[in-house]
Amino acid sequence: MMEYCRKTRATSHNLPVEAPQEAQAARKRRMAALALADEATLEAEAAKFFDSFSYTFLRRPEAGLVMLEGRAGNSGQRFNLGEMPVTRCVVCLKPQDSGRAAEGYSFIQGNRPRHAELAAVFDALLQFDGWAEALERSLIEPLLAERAERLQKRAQETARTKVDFFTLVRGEDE
Amino acid sequence: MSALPPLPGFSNPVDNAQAVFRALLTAFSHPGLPVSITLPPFSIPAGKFSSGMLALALALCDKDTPLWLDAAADTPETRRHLRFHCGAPFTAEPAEASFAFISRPEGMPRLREFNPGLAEYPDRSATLVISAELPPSQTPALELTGPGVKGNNLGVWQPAHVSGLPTWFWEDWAANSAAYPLGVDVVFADKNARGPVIRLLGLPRTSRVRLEEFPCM
Repeated sequence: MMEYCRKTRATSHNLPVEAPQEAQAARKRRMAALALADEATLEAEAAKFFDSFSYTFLRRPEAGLVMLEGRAGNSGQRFNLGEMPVTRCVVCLKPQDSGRAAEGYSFIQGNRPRHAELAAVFDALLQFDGWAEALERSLIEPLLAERAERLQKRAQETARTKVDFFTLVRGEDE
Repeated sequence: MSALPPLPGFSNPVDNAQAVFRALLTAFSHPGLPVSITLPPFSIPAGKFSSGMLALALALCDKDTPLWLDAAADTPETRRHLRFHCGAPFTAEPAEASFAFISRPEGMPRLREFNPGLAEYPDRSATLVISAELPPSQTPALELTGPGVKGNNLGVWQPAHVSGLPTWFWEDWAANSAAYPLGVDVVFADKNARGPVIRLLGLPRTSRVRLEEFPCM
């Protein structure tokens, strides 16, 4: 696999081109879905395909800390909120039925090396048209739907506990 | 997908980088004495970067250390590799570099063009990684004096023999040592070392040189 990467690099002379905005947004959406997914779901999906490609690590899963910044009221001065552990991983992957390789990237909250590896593999696979369609249906859309449902459910639960204070009258006018 | 897939870095980034760092410390502690270590195999991008230069770059450079590459070392493959694995910015000005990687010393800038540090912070100076020939010969081409040279415990001190340097190099080096505590530090990486074997020779700014013979000066 490493051999393959070297060959591709040696034969291509053009520098990386900025991806068009649409493609970038689509990839962002997929990467977010993979990053927020349940590790077990990814593992189960991966088990179906893992025989049909080989991949190599460009950067093995490694955990580090990322400083989160916040703004008071979402508009004030920036301040450091705290550090969050993040695992990142980069793989170079080549499906058996394709002549080219792709790089897959992942950044995962927490110290989760296996999750980072799987997410990076899927990110790479999703760059091949043949795989992208199938995976979009079987993995990405269910993941996004499940997350939307989860968020909506939580929003509903929270909404039920909402208290409106407009009934409080201070009585000064009487 | 980008057109130039990067290559993997060290197979075990933490341990390998620490081994290189340890070797560099040894090299700087015993100026003039070649230090060699063998790393697990690692990929080297196309271009003039030797395994020693690349190992030092992977071990030492990060986003806070601007890099300067000489024209011969500066290939898109090398840049991409260093940007991916080190995250280091590149600079076109030798004076702005924390680390300078020089693969063709014959055409290198004069030593005074690199950052010698500040009087308050002499440690902010540049470190030059120069690819040169370090034959295992005993020929006393130059003799070093200074901390770490005499009475070291690594056996018989072997005088440094570095070839392929510009004629003005040792003259500039004398000026560099005279500016102590300011000045640049130099580490020579053997350009003939092959594969994952790297050989380093340290020349910290504290080392003064006395040439026994003056080759074409």
